[in-house]
Parts: sequence; structure tokens; C-alpha cells
Amino acid sequence: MERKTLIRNRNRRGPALAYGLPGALLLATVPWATGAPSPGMVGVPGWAALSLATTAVYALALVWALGDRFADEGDPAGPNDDRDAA
Amino acid sequence: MNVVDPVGLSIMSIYLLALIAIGFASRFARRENSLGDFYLGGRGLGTLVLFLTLYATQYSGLTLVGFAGQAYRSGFTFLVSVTFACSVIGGYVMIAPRLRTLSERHGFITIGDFIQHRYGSARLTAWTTGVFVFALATYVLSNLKAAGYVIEAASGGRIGMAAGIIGLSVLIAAYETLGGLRAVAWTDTLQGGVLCFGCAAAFFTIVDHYGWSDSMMQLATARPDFFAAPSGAQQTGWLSTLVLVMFGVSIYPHAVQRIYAAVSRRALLRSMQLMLLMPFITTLPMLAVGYIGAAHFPDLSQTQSEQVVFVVLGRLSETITALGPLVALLVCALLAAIMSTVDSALLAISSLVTQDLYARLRPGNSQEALTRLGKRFSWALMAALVGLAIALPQTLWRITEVKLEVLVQMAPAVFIGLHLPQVRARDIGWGLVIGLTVTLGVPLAATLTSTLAERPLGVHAGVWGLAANLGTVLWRDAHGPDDP
Repeated sequence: MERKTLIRNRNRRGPALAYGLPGALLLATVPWATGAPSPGMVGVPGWAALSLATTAVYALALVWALGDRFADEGDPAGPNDDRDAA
Repeated sequence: MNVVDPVGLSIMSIYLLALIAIGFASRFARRENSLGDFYLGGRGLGTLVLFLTLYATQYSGLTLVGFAGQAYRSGFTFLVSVTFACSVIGGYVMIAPRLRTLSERHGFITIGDFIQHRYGSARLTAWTTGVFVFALATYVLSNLKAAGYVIEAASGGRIGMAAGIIGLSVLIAAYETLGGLRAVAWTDTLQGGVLCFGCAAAFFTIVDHYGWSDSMMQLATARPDFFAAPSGAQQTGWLSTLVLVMFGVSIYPHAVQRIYAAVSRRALLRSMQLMLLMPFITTLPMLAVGYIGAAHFPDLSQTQSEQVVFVVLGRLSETITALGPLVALLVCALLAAIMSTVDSALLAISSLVTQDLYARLRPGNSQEALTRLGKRFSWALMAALVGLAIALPQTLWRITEVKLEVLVQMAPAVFIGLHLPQVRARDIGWGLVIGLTVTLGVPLAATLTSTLAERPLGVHAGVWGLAANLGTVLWRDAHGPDDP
């Protein structure tokens, strides 16, 4: 029983998985969708520039997802917030 | 090639001495002689120190030496390594908040503490600890080898690979045993700063001298294959590597130790958010250096290409003597990346063996005795790994893949353990056995027979192993016998 009470956010595991894996998979498949080499940006092939741009969007999404997940766990400051501020 | 002049050598000496000084300072900052203080720095790492230690630890010698070399060989398709680095944080999104909460409640020191708490099986804890120790030891090996490359290349061969590895290893073991995680984190702060600044300075200097557009035009002539879109097989390889990195790197025991060691959840959150910047200001510039190297030095052998950063800088320093300090700074940055990874992995192995194996097998030892044992074990292990690093003939990249493929078999124990309360120790244990069998069996069968590829359908054996592992856990959870 101890085990079950510790893991209390069962209904939130879906969002946790949703933030990470599909985003990463999407990134890896974008160049596939773009197909053949296209005119380059700053000397880099178009598909590579697009892939990097998508990675940047993914990174921003993860910034938000981290905050959201920590908020799910309760007070994001935690019990040692006074030490953190110091 | 001799890229470090006397001025540079002085800078490097000061840098290395500073690490020892930090080790002594952390020794005097010790609050108590306990495992929690030694292995988690008294659970007091604030945002900046935590961020820089996470950064310096995750960005190993491979990031700087190996990745630039891989970019040199693979072309623009290897830009996907920036995505790989981001995906590690995707893994943290799934595990860090929950692990942090549990560690606050139960005083975890190692990842084995979580496994023991979650599954209540000493046998599973011992098995998983063995897997973690193997993966970490391989990690240390690959980085020690990278250290050897750096020192040999930077000294123009005057300092041999073996001597360089031995010297750095003694230094690392010294400051680590002086102050534990506090020493490691504080030295990481210096190392992370040097790493970040060194990469940026080297990148801008190289781009300024060679010119990005000119280099890319030259590259289009010298290596037109660099510009081709990735093939389906390459993209399958990407996805496979992505799975390995996301679920493997995020559960490194030393990364989990830092989740426990944060002074607060807010400090941990901010540190991880800052980490998302680093692939763009560390990995990407190093890849760019690899591409510039390919444009101007297109005929390097595989071994030479692993030192492409030094090839490019070495040629520059021959014509611009004022570059000496900058070159030394980059060498320091490379050493920083390597040392910060090795010290963290070494400390994690020491904690796993002391806390999860020795303390459980022989309970009743005092915290002081266990801490002393952990320090002695660190020295003995380092000596053994130095011997292996000097003798082991494998390329850097291959060693990394072997390590990750084994380590990722632990992902179900952590990811499922945190999110599915009904899964039991036996399910995880069987999954681990099946996963490791596939992971190690596929390359073995590929070596013995010619009918099976080392990566069937372009997917790493470790990913096939993870699929079998996960399938076994979920099948047993659905159909296995109920608990008595």
C-alpha cells in the first residue's frame, strides 16, 4: 500500500510521456518530410536548417514542460526554499 | 603538431592547480562525515552550481573531441546530435520531478535507493547496481581515452597518451576524495565556465579566420556528400540513437545524484531549463568546427579526424602566435569536459558500491567507515580503469554506444517504476534479463555468423533489447501470477 500512496500522480503520467517522446520523434522525422536537399540557409542545407529550427522549438516546449511537471509535484520551491534564496 | 606554447602551458598548470585548491576548500566546507554529505554535498547545491555541474557532467570529452570528429566524417546529418542533447531533458521531464519528491521524503543517496524503496527487492537492487556500475565504468573508460588523445595532441606527442591519462586520473581521484560531490560540483563550476567560454572563443576565432561562407563553399566542392539529405536508413539510425540517449543518459546515476543534491526543487527546475540552452552554444559550435575542418583538411584519417579541433587550431597557431593563450584555453576546456565527467561517474560508482552493495550486504557500519571505504574504492577503481583505458583498442564512439545500450535496459525500472505502481520486482527483473540478453546477444551473433546484422533493420541492439525488455515487463504485468 505504501508504494501506491507514494505514486499519487498516476493520471498525469500520460502528459509526462506526451511532452518528451513524441516531440523528439517529430524532430527526427521532419527532415524526412522535407525530402531532397533544398536551397541552403547560411551555407547549411535547407533540411538541416529546418531540423535545427524544430529542435529549438522542442527545447522551448521542454522549458515549459519542466515547469508544468514540477508544479504537478506541489510547491516548486520545496522545503529548502529559504536556503535556495540565500 | 604542437598547439600549446609555454604561455599556454602556464595557463594549463594554473588551471589544474586551481582544481586541487578547490578540492581542499571543499574539504574544509564539510558539515559532517556522512554518506549524504560526501556523495550529495549535504544536499545543498544551488541553481548556478547545480546547472554548471549538470552541464559539465553531461558534456563529456566525447562532446568536444568525438562529436567534432563525427561531424567531420558524417556531414550535416550529424547536426541531429543537437536534438539528441535536448532529448536528454525530455527524459528528465518524465522522471526528475517525481524522483526529487521521493528523495526529499526518504533521503535517497543513490539511484539504487530508489530501486530498493520502490520494488523492495535486494536482489533486483544488486542486479541493477551491477548494470549501472558496468555502464559507468565504460563511460569513464571512454573519457579517459579522450583525455589521452587531448594531451598527446596538445603536447605535440611530447606527453604520451598513457602518461596523460595517469596524470589526470591521479588529479581527479585526489580532489574527489578530498571533498566528494561538493568538490566535484565546485570544480565542475570552474570546469563548466571554462568549457562554455572555451568553446565560444574557439568557435568565433575559427569562424573569423576561415570564414563560414567561404568554408561552406569549399566544402561543397570537397565533400558534396555532406549536403545530401539523410537517407531512410540514416533516419532510422537517428530514431534509434534518440531512444538510447533520451532513456539512457537521463538515468545516469550521477545525473540522478544531482537531482537529489539540489538545495530545492526550484533550483533543480531552473538548472534543467538552463541546460536546454547548452546544445545550441556548445554542441553546435563544435559541429561547426568539424565542418570547417572538413572543408580545409579533407584528407584526414579516422584517427586524425577525432583530433580535428586540434588540427584546425594547430594550423592557426602556426601563423598567429598571439593565439597561444586561446589554444591553451580550449585545451583546458576539453580537459574540463573530460575531467568533470570522469569525476562524477567515479563518485557515482563509489556511492553505488558503498551504499547499494556493501552497506546492504554488511549492515551496521558507521557512516564514517562507509565514507572511508568509498574513498579507498575510488582510488582502486581508478587504477584499474586507467590500465584498461591504456590497453583497450576501440574507437570513442563505439564505446559510447555499448555503454548506452546496456544502460538503457534500466529505463523500465526507473520510468515505469515512477509511473506505474502495480509493476513488481519480478516483472522488472525478467525484463532486464531479456533486454540484456538481446542487447548483448545480437552483436555476439552478428560476430559469429554473417546472417545477422549488428544493427538489425538499422536499429541498435540496445533498442531491440529495450523493446523486448518493455514488452516482457508489460506482458508479465498483465498475465503474470499475482503477488502472494
